[in-house]
Amino acid sequence: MSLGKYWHLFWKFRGIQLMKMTEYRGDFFFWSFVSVLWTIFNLFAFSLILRVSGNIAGWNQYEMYLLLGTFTIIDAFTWSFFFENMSNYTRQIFKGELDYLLTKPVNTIFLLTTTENSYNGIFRLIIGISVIVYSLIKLNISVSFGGVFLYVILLLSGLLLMYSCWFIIATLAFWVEKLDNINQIIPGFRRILQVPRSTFSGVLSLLLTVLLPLSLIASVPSEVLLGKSNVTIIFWLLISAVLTGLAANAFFSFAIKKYSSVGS
Amino acid sequence: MLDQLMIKNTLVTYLKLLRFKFINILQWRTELIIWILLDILPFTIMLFVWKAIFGDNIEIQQTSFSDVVLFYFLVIIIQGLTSVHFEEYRPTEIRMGRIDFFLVKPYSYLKELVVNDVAAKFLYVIIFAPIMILFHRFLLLFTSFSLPNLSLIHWLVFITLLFIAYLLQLLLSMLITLSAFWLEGASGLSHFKWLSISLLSGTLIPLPLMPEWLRTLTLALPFKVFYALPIFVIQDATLPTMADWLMVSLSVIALYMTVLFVWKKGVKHYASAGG
Repeated sequence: MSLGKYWHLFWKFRGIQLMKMTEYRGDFFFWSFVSVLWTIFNLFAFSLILRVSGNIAGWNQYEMYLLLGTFTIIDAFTWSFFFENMSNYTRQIFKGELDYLLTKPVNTIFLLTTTENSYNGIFRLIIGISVIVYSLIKLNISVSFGGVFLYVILLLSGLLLMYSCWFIIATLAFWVEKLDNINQIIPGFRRILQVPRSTFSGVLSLLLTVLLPLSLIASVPSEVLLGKSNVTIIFWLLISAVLTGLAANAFFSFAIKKYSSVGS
Repeated sequence: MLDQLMIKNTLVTYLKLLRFKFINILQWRTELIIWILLDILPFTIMLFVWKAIFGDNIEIQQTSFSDVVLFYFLVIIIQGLTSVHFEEYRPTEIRMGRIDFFLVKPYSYLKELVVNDVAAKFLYVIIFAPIMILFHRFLLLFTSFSLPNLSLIHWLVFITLLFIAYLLQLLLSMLITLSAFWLEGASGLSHFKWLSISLLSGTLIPLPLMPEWLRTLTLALPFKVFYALPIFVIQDATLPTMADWLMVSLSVIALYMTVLFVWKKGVKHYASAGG
């Protein structure tokens, strides 16, 4: 299949999910409300800390809000896209239903990654963008088109990195059983994304910057908007995202050989 | 004599049930370990945040870094021992009409919820204790922190408060679960439970560092029994007042009555597919 077909398929899936959403409107509004409440709660919790300290690891109040805005955007994708697809993925492994996807003339990882989504995170996404714009205004920073472009690229790289890590962990479902919370592991690390990477020091800094660069996911794009980015770190985020993506792909190819379905 | 025999038989029956549930829950031990680690992680990150905030300062608003470390250590322990989560998945049983089994036996669905959770809590504590000992060693790398001199009364009050907090969480979770008799998305209500507890129980940041209005609100509501009151007992060696006990006791009684009332109404409303 050509790239154009994949593009078309991607938007077909979004259309199907939109139809589902309009069918369960009450559900959509309820979960959107819950997601907005948690977003406000997160911002409030950090505002309490900032009220005490004025800054966190050298990031002042509005710089922190900008970081939290970036985190909120990532969080919207986490719950609306990643969680939905990964839950579906592990469910299919546990139930031995992956055959349906393996026999289709489309890349299996593409199907596993794009079929599902919910629209509950829309308001979270809007809040995230609004908080970023508000923080930039308060900080009196005007961002160039290039800056916004780089921000989006780095944000996408961060999302790829996070999703690839999640995919690798979810793929472990081929070997492990009785692990319903396998899809809570990566979301459990979200607090790392909420704080500047300079918060961590020593061995932990090395671990979260180089080996498992989760602390870069929200920090590096935010640093670009704030004009305090580091070229080496930007490159490392881009490279590590690609490397993790390739690793996830290779691990899936290896794991699929272990797969045996229930048959029918 | 007959009464004593009946009580003994009932106790033996429940102990057997508890043992059976415990064995059944053992299959989820890996999942429990992951939950424990995931519960500890956010607070560990917060310690790094506070470490960065304190920097070279010994105290901020009469609170030292050691106080903050002890605060989060206690929060993790209290959370581990008292939190209840079954309302996130059990409402499905009611929605799908799968509780008939409990309606025709002298072992009600409410008892099943409690016994199952108590058994799970036993296993949780067994796994949680060694992890927390290791975590305590890890925290000592940050800073030295120790408990104030506490009498036996303080420890007894602390344990009583934990028991009440667990009881309240059980009742809240039951209420949410039972709302599935009428509400399709009952499990979603658990988010309101966690939001209220997170916001109003004194778990966000140490109480002395809270803004005045939030501190006043926290101390005025019964949610304080979840974290603020037990932490006060250990960290400040302050015992709850009579008003605190009264407020907490009334909350337990009111919630218990509500759960019984909702259960009675719910069972009348319940319809399963049969077969």
